[in-house]
Amino acid sequence: METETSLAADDDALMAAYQGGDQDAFGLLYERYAPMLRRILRRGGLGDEETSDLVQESFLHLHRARADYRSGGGLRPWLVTIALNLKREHLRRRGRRPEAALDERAEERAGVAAHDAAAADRSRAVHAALQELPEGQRQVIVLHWFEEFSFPEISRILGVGLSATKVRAHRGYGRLREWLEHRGHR
Amino acid sequence: MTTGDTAGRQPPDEVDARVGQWLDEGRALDAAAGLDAGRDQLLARLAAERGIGAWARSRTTAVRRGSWAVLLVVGAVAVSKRPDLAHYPLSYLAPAALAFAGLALWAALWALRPLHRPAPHRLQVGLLSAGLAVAPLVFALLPEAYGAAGASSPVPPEALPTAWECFIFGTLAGAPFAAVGWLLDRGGLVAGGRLLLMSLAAAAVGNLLLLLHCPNTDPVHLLAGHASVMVPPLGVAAFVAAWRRRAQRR
Repeated sequence: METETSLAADDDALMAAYQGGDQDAFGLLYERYAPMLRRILRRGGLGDEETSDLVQESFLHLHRARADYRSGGGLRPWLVTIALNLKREHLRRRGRRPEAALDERAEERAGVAAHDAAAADRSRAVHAALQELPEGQRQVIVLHWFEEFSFPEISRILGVGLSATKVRAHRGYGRLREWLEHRGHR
Repeated sequence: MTTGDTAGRQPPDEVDARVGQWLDEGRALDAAAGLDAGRDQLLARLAAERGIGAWARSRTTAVRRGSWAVLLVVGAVAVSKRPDLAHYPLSYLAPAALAFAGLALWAALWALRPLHRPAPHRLQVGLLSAGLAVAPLVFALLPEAYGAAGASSPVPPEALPTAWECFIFGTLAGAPFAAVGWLLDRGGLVAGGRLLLMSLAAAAVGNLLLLLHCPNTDPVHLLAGHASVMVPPLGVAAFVAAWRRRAQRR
């Protein structure tokens, strides 16, 4: 709690500095949140190149919208809302094409060693299972489980009611449990 | 970390430990996701954010939307030179003007919405677009448009503009509103929905300005010269949609 609160306060301070023209503050915000946006977009089924483009677009929008940000508003959910709205617009332009598997070249660059191959395989299995969920359920689970957003925050990010958010979570986790049971995962 | 159902890592009751443990295995490749491939490109794009467009886009949403609204009012007042204004039935003029202005403003506000707010549903955008497209048609077909006003108009027939003149006027008069909308939009109106909404908003403004300027009350003129101003944005939207569908099939 204290860590989250101090992080949020730090975000507000960085945004205030950036609004005042401090470019270094923008760099710090990028380092802090670009990995998070990449994880969310990759788990949402986008390929490496699309993810990189949308992360860039998200921060470009952050730059353009910096005057709109109000202290205490929560930069993290703010930024995720931007990214997911950009993703929605991107998917409409792209149309329904096959979703991307995890890029194995990215794993090489990250130095995923041979002895981690089993872990990488299991990670890919989780990724594949997430892609089988409907978009709404997947978004809730990615934000809730992997990025630790609360349900009220997720509800605001996605623009759906709190009850609907919890229903999506309930159904999504239920489907994942069935997926696990059908494939005999231990 | 907060508690209860607001806790980040506390799953709903129906998630057993096995599912949670298995999901956590999905974090193994998070390091790969952290690699930074686009930072330099982003910095280059930020450095290129200069000029009137960059300045306009970086205003607050309230200022951007308010600027477009002010432009609408200024345009309407500047163009309100209808020679038969004193004779034209207010019971028709006021609702028509309010409808065109209201729908145009609503569409522009949605087109200029900030991305840190949830987007309107596609159905809502569709309904608003349909309303914009149909409103000039409806008002052109109302008998009040050319009934009493037409009979008592002080404007001589030879002074009435022809339909194509009004179509050109309405289209050109609405174009600056689309241009300003493009300047103010943070995404450059690239997304289809935003482009359609802003185009229709500009065309609705064109209809409003025609209503406040043109004294011709002939029903054919109103359809062919005024309502037809809505056709170009719909045509552009249909073309872009067809082009995208074709690109997606490749």
